[in-house]
Order: sequence, then C-alpha cells, then structure tokens
Amino acid sequence: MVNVVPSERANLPAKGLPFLALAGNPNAGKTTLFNALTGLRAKTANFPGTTIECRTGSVTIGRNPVELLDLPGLYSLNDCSDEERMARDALLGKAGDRGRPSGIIVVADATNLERNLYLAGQILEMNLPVVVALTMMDLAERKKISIDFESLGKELGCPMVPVDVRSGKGVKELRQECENMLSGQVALTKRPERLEYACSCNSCPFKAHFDWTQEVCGKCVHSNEEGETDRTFAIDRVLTHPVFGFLAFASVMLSFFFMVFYIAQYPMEWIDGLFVHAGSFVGKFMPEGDLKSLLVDGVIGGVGGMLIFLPQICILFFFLTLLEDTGYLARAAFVMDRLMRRVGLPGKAFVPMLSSHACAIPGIMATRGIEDKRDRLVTILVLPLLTCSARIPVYAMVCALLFPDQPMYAALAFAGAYSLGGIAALVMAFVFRRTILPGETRPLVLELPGYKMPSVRNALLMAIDRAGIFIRKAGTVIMVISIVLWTASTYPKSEPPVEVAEMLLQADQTNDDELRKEATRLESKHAFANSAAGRLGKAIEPVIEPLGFDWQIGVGIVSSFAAREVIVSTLSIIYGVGEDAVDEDPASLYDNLRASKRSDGSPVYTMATCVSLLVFYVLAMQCLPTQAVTRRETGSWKWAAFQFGYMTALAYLSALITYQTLTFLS
Amino acid sequence: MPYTPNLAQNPSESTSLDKLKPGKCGYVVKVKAESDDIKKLMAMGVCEGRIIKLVHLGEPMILQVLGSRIGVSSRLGETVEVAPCEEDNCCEQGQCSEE
Repeated sequence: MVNVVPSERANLPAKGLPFLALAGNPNAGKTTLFNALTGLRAKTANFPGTTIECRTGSVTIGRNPVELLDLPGLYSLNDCSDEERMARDALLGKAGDRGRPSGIIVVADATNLERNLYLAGQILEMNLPVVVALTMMDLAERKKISIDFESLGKELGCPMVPVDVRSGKGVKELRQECENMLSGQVALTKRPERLEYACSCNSCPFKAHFDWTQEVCGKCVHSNEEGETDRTFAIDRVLTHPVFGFLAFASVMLSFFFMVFYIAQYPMEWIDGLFVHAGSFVGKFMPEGDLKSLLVDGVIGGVGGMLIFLPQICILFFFLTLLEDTGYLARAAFVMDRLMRRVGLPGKAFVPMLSSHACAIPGIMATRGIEDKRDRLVTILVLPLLTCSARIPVYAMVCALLFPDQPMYAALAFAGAYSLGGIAALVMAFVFRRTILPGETRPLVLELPGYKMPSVRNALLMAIDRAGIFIRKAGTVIMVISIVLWTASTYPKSEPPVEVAEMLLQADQTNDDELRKEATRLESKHAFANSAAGRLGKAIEPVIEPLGFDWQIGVGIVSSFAAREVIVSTLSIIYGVGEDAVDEDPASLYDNLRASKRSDGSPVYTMATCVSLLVFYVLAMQCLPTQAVTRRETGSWKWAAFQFGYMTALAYLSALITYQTLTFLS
Repeated sequence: MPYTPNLAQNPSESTSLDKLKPGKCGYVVKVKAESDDIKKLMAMGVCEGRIIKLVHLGEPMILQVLGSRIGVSSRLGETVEVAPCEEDNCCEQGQCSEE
C-alpha cells in the first residue's frame, strides 16, 4: 500500500509533446467532439494553481501522438472570468511550461454562428493555425439553415470542417486538418481585414466584433423561413413557468434523487458484501494477531470504506450529465434561482444540495457547475449540514431510544432532524454571505440551450472520469484516515481483566459457547475502552458532559469520524452487546442503552441526552472523507479545517442549548 | 449588408429593457454598467447594436439574442437601454427570429 501516496500529476501535457487546443462556446458540442477524439484516454486535471479543471487526452494524428487540451466552455477571451483568463494564458503559452499550442480547433455551433463566431474572431487574432469545426449540422439542416463553407472559410481565413459526431461524418476530415496544422500546412491566422476596420473606429469592441460576425453570416449563412419551427420555445413556456416549471422541476429532481439514493444502495451493498467476504477470506489464511487485524479491518476495510462512495458518485454524475446534455439543467437553475438567491446561494446550488441528502461527497463534487468562486465556496461549506444517508442509522437509534413504543413520534423526530439540517444549511449560507464571504450572489446570466437528445457515451465517460478523480485525489486520503482510526481503536493493547480471562478459561473447559461469546464481548469492550480512541473519549468527557454525554458517547463520537454510522457499532462494542448486534438484534443494544446508568445511578439516555445527541449528529462534521473532498474541491486544507471548526462549534452550542433547556424544563 | 433596423428616430424613446413589453424587440442603444457579469452578457450578444427580444419578463427574465435564449437577473436587465422597434415584424427581418 506504499504506492498509494498521492502524487500530483503533471497538470498539463508534458513538455515537448505537441498539443492542440479545443475551444468553443458552452453547449456547442465541444465535449462530445473531445470525447469522440480521445475517449477513455482523457484525464482531468486542474490548471496549475487553480481549481479550474481542464481535460487533456492523447490523440494519434497521422502517426504521431498529440495531446488535445480541452479548454473550458467560453463565450469570449475577454478578462471577465478565471476560465477566460486561464484559456487565454493557455493559448498564449503562459500556463505551465509548454509554450503555445501547435494549433487551435474552434468548435462552432452551426445553428448559431453569429454568436459563436465572436469567440472564433478573437481566436483568429492570436496568430496560430486554426481549424473551425462546425457542429450541430443535423439541427441546422432541420432548421433549413444553409452555410456556404467555402466563402465562410475565405472570410475567416482558415479551413472549415462540418462535423457530425453521432454519425462520424467529418471526423476523418477534421483529423486530416489537424495533421495539416501540425505539419505547418495551415497558415497562421490573422485578424480578418474587415474586423480590423471595424475595430479601428473607436467604438465598443463588442459591437465591432458582432458587426463583423453579422456581416460574415449575412454573406455565408442563409436561413430559410420554412424551416422547422422550434420546439424548444414551446417546451420552455411550460418548464420556465412559475407554477408548472416548479412542478416539473420537483418531479425531475425527485426522480434524480431516487436514482442517487435508492438505486445506489444495491451496488453499495455489493461492495460492502464483497469486502466483508474478502476480509474473512484473507482472515482464514492468517494467524490471529495484529497483522491480520491491520489487513482485514484496517486495509481491506479502508479500501471498502472508500469504494463504497463510488456508486453514488457514478450514478450522480451519469444522470447529471444526461440532464445537462438535454438542456434541462439550465432550466432547473433558472427556476430555482429566485428562491435560492434569498439566502445567498445561486440557482445552480440546488443539485449539489439535493445530492447531499444522499451523501455530501458527490454533492461537493457536483458544485463544479457553479461559476462564481465565492458562490461555490458558500455552497461547499454548508453542504455537509444536510442529512446524508450515513446519519440515518444514528437517527434511527436515537429515535428508537426516545420513543420506543410510539412510531408516530419517532417518525416526527426523524423528520425534525432532517429539517433541522436543511434549515441550518440555509441559515449558515445566509450568515456566511454577510460575514466571511460578503457580497451579493452573482446575478444570473445563463444560456438556455436548445433541447436535444443526451449522449449516453458522454454521461458514461463523465461518470468514469469523476470516479477516477475521487479515487486519485480523495481516495488515498480516506485510506490513510481509516488506517489511522483503526490504529487508534486497536492500540495501545491491554490485558483482559482477570474475571474475563477466567470466564474464557471456564468456557474452554466446559465447552460453553454462550459463555465464550460473552467473554469475547467483554474482552473487546475492555480492549476498546483502553485503546487510544477509548482514552480520548474518556479524556473529552468533561467537555461533552454539559451536553449530557458520558464517556461512552465520547468514544462513539471519536470513532465515528470515519463515518457517522460507526457510532452505533462502537456503542454496541462499548456496551458489551457485540458488534453484530446492530444488524442482528438492535433491540438488545437499545435495551442496554436504556439500562445504562451514570455513577450516581440516574439513567444516561434521558430525553434531554437523546435530543441533544440527535442535534449534535445533525450538525457536526463527523466525516473525515468529506473533508478530503472539500480539500480537493477548494484547493486547500484551510477551508476543510474551517468547515470542520464551524460545524463542530455549531453542533456543540446547539446540543448544549438543547440539553440545558430540556433539563431545566423537566 | 449589415441589417439596419427601422427605429424610432427620437432618442428619448429609448428605455430600459425591463420596460419593453414581453414579446417585443428592441435595438440596444447602450449598456449602462460595467462588471464581469455585464461583460459576459455582452459577449453573449447583449451589446450595443444588436436587436434583442424580451421573451419573458420576471425574475429572472428571458431574452432572445442571436438565436439563443438567455436567462438574466432583472437587475442586470435594467442596465440595458433599448430603443423599441417600431414594426412588429422586425424580429423576423433581423437576427432575433424565433429560431
């Protein structure tokens, strides 16, 4: 396991290898083209020193390997966003140490050339070989838009290739043009003469460029009025409607949530089962001892505990990409924007917030769609407050303790815990907006692209890509954490107490299996209580006492940093009912908990303690894997530490107020 | 030939975008603010010299420009000054046909 230490890959193509850049407007079919050219050989990395992603992939052009760099979707190369600055730097050879690209492929949507040529015009000014790939040709045909490629090529001063990725038409020609670019057969472009003239007259540069694109399109693009009328407009009337739009949104998002939450359960169970079997299989061939425990509980358990996140990540990104491809996601952000803005979150924060109800990890990874850095940071900070599936076993345990014979009240307590998380997230977003990340949410400027059939291939590649990033960037950290936690709950070793040793001896003599089980349970309880984690739990007892918690709960809190639900199995061990009680006989755990007494003889799990524990688990960070992902997505441990700090403080104070108020009242 | 819209000649008739009736077009006379968001909007075609159509008035509003629809916060829309097109069919002549 030594080689799993994360090594930062070279972010951009290696020095010396020629590379081509792929640029184009968002929604112009750039990703589809990139996937068609590179397929599974693509890698996602960040631009050096930023959290802006770019994808690179190797392509064989002619006979030589070439790197293809996919720039973020751009409307222009002005200076108005980090993406634009990074793209400009990459084209000028200022990003990394690779110099300038050998050529640029500009992807332009044939149905909307007048706008797409704005970016093309700016790229033409960069004095590099350029090839323009015209996409969406099938749509253009349906709309009866005809384009005179030859004169368009003359106007732009570069080769034009119409490409239809789905049928594969034009891909070969595009490769040929790329080869020509690499061998220097494509002339460097220069600013079109007419654009030169338009820009000289001291007017708004946007106007000058658009006057030029309008003129070019006037000459080369002919649209026939009898073309198919646009269905997008009719669909949008419903989907952006204040009432129907919201209903459509709710049903789409509920099905989306259903996929991520319920369907992912099955592969998660398989992964869990697989690793349990792998653990017991390996265990059979090894002698009892620390090495076996390290391998089975630490390493195999750790890998399983990391891979268990993959189904949700893959399913989330698969369906998210499909939704985005159809064009619906933009409408969803549009519909939610007004509501979300009230607490200082952008409309696009909704999908991450919804996903976080399954798990905060894919939720945080899904904040990539939010353009503004501060908007994105606020969203990431509050996401772990939303109730994820790992909290459910804890809620279930506490609700069962609170209302053993009143399922109605237990359900209400459950729902209350859910709402508390949601409300806390919105309130904290509101607070951050007024304190550490001040400023208004960036106003919405969002293209509503035409509806189209999504590409399953794109969605699959995206899911694989995200899974890879998770394993490479967060997986290793999660592994290290789980091994550290295993060590903390195993060491230092302690001798079992005399009476337990006697029980074991007696069980061996009389062959009493029940007695042996009992002795083993007592032994692991004792070992756990004396381990570093157990001692830490005892050490923090004075701190958590005002919340109504005793040292056993303290041990549970310490051990559940790996995953929240671990507190349930820890309590089972600590109360001597055995680890398996959680699945086999939860009632025995609950009975044990109810019967447990403080030193003065009063019960530990009073109503006040239970509610306080519930509030604590709703609000506390208690999940180190999430921290690893926060680090990867914000680019620094600083924000992960802040997230941990504020959530723990919030949980502590809320639990304190809850416990003290409830004890005072009763 | 660049398309020249038939405009109301009187400059006093220019108004902010949100005063336009939904479904009507206007010629952008000026964008009265400068920020990164405004620049993004301009790069999408909402800039001096273009004809835009107000598809839906509300928060956010929907504009149509250069063959694409854009959702825009109304506070940005308010900074766009337009001269309403006189003729109803100007959209069909120019860039902002419903395609």
